[in-house]
Amino acid sequence: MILPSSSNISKIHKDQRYLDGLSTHNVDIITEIYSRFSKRVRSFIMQHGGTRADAADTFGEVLTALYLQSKYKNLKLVTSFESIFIPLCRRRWIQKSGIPSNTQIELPKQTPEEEMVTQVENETVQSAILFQTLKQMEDPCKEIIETALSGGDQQLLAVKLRISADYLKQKKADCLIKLIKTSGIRI
Amino acid sequence: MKYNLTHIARYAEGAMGEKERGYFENALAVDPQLRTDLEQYLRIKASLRMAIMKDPQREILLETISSLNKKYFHNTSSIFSFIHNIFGKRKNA
Repeated sequence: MILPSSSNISKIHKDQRYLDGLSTHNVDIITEIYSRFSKRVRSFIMQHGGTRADAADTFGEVLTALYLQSKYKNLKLVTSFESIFIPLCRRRWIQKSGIPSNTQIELPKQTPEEEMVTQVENETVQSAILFQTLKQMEDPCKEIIETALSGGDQQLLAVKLRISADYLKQKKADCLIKLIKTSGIRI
Repeated sequence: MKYNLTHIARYAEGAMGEKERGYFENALAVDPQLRTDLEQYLRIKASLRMAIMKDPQREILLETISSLNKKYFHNTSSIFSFIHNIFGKRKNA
């Protein structure tokens, strides 16, 4: 299959090591992230109505979101780690806590930082919407999608559904189209 | 020929026959919008895979985060909400 080319390969920032460390579970790198940024995230959240536990939760949530996007969506840093991690933590807290929108963290528009923060936020939300939509689907579509995307044995599934492997591919395409349309996500 | 989501999904899932795939790839070569749409379809699939994939490494990462949360935030809570809030609690994930 022809895959669309990525235009960002030549612009990868040296801080990509943080994402690589997350996706490979490099404890030294993860500890460095805590060491460098935990104080700032904690200060911001505690100054905006949160507790230490809220700060810890938010920090972990953003790290997990970055891990998932790095591992499964090949997220590449085109700007410093700090310039996306701190805004992501702040925005995540504002979103969770319901702080009025005039406290929104603004980033300069149309910058790599804004683009990456928005991308991570949007794709995290998109992932959640798709997952919730999938949970509401019925079999065989639900089973076909889950098996296909979690690396399950598709030949076995075709036998179970009493259809050919070729027809299973067609069914998979139909089911994914149905999922995308039901979720309201637009291509 | 005007291609739509159905064609894109059939191509991406390997459901096209050889001849149809050839026509589609010729269109991909000259139609940037079609390439963008295919890229978007693949991103959506990756978003879904990210949510449903059973990932032991993620569980290890969560343990590391929990441990570092205690050290750097003096946080006694061992469970944080992201996975529960976003993807829902899963068994054997």
